[in-house]
Amino acid sequence: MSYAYLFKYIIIGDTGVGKSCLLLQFTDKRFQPVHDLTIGVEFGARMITIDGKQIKLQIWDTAGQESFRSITRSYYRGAAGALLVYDITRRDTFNHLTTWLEDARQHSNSNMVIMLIGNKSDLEARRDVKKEEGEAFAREHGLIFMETSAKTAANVEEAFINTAKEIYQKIQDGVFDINNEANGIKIGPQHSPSPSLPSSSGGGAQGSGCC
Amino acid sequence: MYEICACRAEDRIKQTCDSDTASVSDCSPEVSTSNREASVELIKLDISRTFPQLCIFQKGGPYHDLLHSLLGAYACYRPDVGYVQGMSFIAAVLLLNMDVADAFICFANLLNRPCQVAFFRIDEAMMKFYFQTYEEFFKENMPSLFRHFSKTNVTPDIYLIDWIFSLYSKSLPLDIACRVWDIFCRDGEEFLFRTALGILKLYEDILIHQEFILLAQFLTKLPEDISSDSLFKSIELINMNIDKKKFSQILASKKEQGKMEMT
Repeated sequence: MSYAYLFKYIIIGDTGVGKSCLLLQFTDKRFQPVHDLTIGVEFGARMITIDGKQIKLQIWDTAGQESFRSITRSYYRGAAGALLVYDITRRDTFNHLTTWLEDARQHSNSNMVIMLIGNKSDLEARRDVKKEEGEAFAREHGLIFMETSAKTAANVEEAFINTAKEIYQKIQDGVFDINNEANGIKIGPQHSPSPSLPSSSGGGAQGSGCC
Repeated sequence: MYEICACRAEDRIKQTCDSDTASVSDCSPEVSTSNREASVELIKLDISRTFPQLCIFQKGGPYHDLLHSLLGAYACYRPDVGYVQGMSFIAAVLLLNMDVADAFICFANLLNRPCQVAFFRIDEAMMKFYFQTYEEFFKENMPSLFRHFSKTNVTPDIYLIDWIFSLYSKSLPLDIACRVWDIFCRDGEEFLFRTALGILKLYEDILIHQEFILLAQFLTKLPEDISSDSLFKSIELINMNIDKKKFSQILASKKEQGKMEMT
């Protein structure tokens, strides 16, 4: 299917916070109470519309265990957006946000949009991290913030789409150089900037990490 | 031996349950680098996420506690390795076939093989040599698909990590995975990489036309209806000799090259 832009996303955060479940809810609109654990990386894709334009999201869902950190680090390359997820019922997953953020900032493009997500908002009775704490952390570090539930689908759609809106806005403002694929953005085949770039006419493979 | 380690793991789990989270995180930084015994706390999160469709490893299921003790015991037996995701799948397959003490021995021996040592210790340099060697055989056996993968940036780590860490038990139907294990035990680690190439060969006609995201999705979630006979036929077609050199020889030369570049 044709698209105006392709954005690469990466989902990061501690193991068991619901990264894969968020992705499944977003791409397939369903919830698996017990999901297979992720080893290495898994993928999802979905088309969304922003400002009347078709945008394809290519989503990299990474393993959360610390041992895998050195491997998943290379997956930041070329990401335009990151969803940094913690579990509102497990404080340690919130406490680790700083290390995740340091990692993300260090290994990604400086313009990458980061959305902080407090997941499992349906488990209010077991809440261990206040919503205000998430908001404060996001404010302090310049992130967008939302609480979601992959189970009830609350805010899931919004989390993915608002991140894309932010990226789209940055393109409009000229912050992102869309001709540089290292930014995690690719122009769709029908929008190829100029016919003088023969390699882009096939809409397929050109060098960098996304296509 | 198993009993001792299992007991130690139990103590460790009790300890962490008793103490509050603050004190656990206080002591973890100093132990984390040299002693990965602390990773036992992660095990409980993963037990129920191991073969969820079988419904026997979940809390309350007949194998939940066994799998938990086996992995805990291993993390205490090998604190230098600890618990790494992927292990629960291997341990689960063994538990389905033998009693827990034997499963523990097999598990420890299996993880002591060079390839498993490299991967489970996340020895990035060694993993790179394995990937490079694998790519040599990929290029040799399926040159056009190899070019397509390079062009679309589908690197081996994207799909091989899952396949190798779980020894295919997560990515292939269990009966097929067990057949792979049988030959892996007979032929050694090169068979793991031969299987990967067999999978690519089986689906070559589909893969060659796909763009990055479809390739990545396909390889990290293989079709459930994969046929055992056609897969093994396609594995058989894979040539594991390049200019009369075997997998192990090429791996050795990659290591050698790597060492030279380091100095």
